[in-house]
Amino acid sequence: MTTMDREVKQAVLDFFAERAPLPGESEGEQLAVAYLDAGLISSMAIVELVVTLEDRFGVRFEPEDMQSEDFRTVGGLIEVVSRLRAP
Amino acid sequence: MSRIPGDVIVLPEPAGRWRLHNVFTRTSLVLDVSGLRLARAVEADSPNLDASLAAATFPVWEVQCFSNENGLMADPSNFLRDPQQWGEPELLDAEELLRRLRRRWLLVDDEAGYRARFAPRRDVLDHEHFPNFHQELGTHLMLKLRRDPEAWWIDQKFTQDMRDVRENLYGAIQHSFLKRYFAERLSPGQEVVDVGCGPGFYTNLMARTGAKVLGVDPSISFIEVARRHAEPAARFELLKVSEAGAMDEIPTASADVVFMSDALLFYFVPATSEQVADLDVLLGDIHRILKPEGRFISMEPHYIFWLRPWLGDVDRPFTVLSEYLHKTFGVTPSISELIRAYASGGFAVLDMRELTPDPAFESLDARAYRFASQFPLWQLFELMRLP
Repeated sequence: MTTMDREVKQAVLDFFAERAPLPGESEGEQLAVAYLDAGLISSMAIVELVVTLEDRFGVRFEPEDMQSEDFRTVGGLIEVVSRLRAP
Repeated sequence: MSRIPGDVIVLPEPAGRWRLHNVFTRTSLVLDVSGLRLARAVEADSPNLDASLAAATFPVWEVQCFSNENGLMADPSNFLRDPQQWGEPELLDAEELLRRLRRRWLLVDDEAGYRARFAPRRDVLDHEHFPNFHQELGTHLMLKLRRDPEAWWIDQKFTQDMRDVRENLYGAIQHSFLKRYFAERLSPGQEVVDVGCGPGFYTNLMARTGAKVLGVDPSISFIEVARRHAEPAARFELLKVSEAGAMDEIPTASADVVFMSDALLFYFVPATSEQVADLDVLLGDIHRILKPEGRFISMEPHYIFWLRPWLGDVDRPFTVLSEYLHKTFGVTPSISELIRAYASGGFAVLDMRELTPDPAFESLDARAYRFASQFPLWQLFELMRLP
């Protein structure tokens, strides 16, 4: 399992907290949420999410990153950004 | 077991090359005859490959593109048409060529998996299902180009100052037709409502006939542009068209004519999963605001030919129809869906036109002109409000 960058994790959780509160009692449950399948955010919000994370962490998602299975869960998304950000 | 799906056609290209094109996925690859032989050999004897084929190299030209990146009026075939743009071929070994063929759905190993991909796409990031046109466009604009779809829609249709329609098929078909049509149909003093007016170009065209025109649209950015360019007889209001009650401020039985263009299709296939588009509300409002026997003029992308590939020689174009009643890529309603919607909304058809380009356009783009002259890209219905 890829490690999660703490800053990235906080930024992603903040993004959802502001727009679409994640279901789940524990952080583990929240990280497992498949936010796309659950319809938590709209397609325009997905773009906002992508642009926000790219700007904040100086990364660039390739279409393959965005269309990967990882990208569809909160935890997976954090891992993708953490991986791209790693030196 | 590998198979070239029955969805694939082979088209001749200059200099002994062949374009394999899957008409459902709209994906292509150009090969020479050795590559074609390899594909057939794999099909016949998968997974074993003759040693001489396995050791050979094959020239391949990648011609895939998203043709509508620059506008809906571009050639929608999704491949680079001009061989000058292909560049030098890549020389691939057999294994890599087969991988490319599979990536473009020109060779399929898992038949059930391939079929499952035609189920509706779930969201903008879903890559397990083939997109319809709206989704393909949205994915391309947002994820690849990072462009705002609303700005793109404007740019591809209007000149930069938004005072004119671009000299593409919008100009050659819609604009040239509507200039004549409005001059014939509208008269000074008539009350007209342009529903879904966008930046108001056609609203202003109608206002120049002397009619008094109200343009309404749910987009504030469109309405702001429209107000900047408004003709004296045109005014614009921000109204959430299609939401219940949104058009209540337009008085009942007040309009002689309601015009709507390039908008009704979104009520049959929404552009995004979040879009609010209630056809009953919309048609109910149009019916309510029209005077008895008032006219509803509805111009929409053609129910068959919109975004069909432009194939064949320039002077004898043809296309391939791969779907009609149950569309997975297309976004226009069938003719019966459309007419039944008009009828159930309380309208009778008085006239229908299938619009073709102005002859002057041939010198600008002969292929587009010839295709659109044979296969109309828009239709216009003139409807009468029934009691």
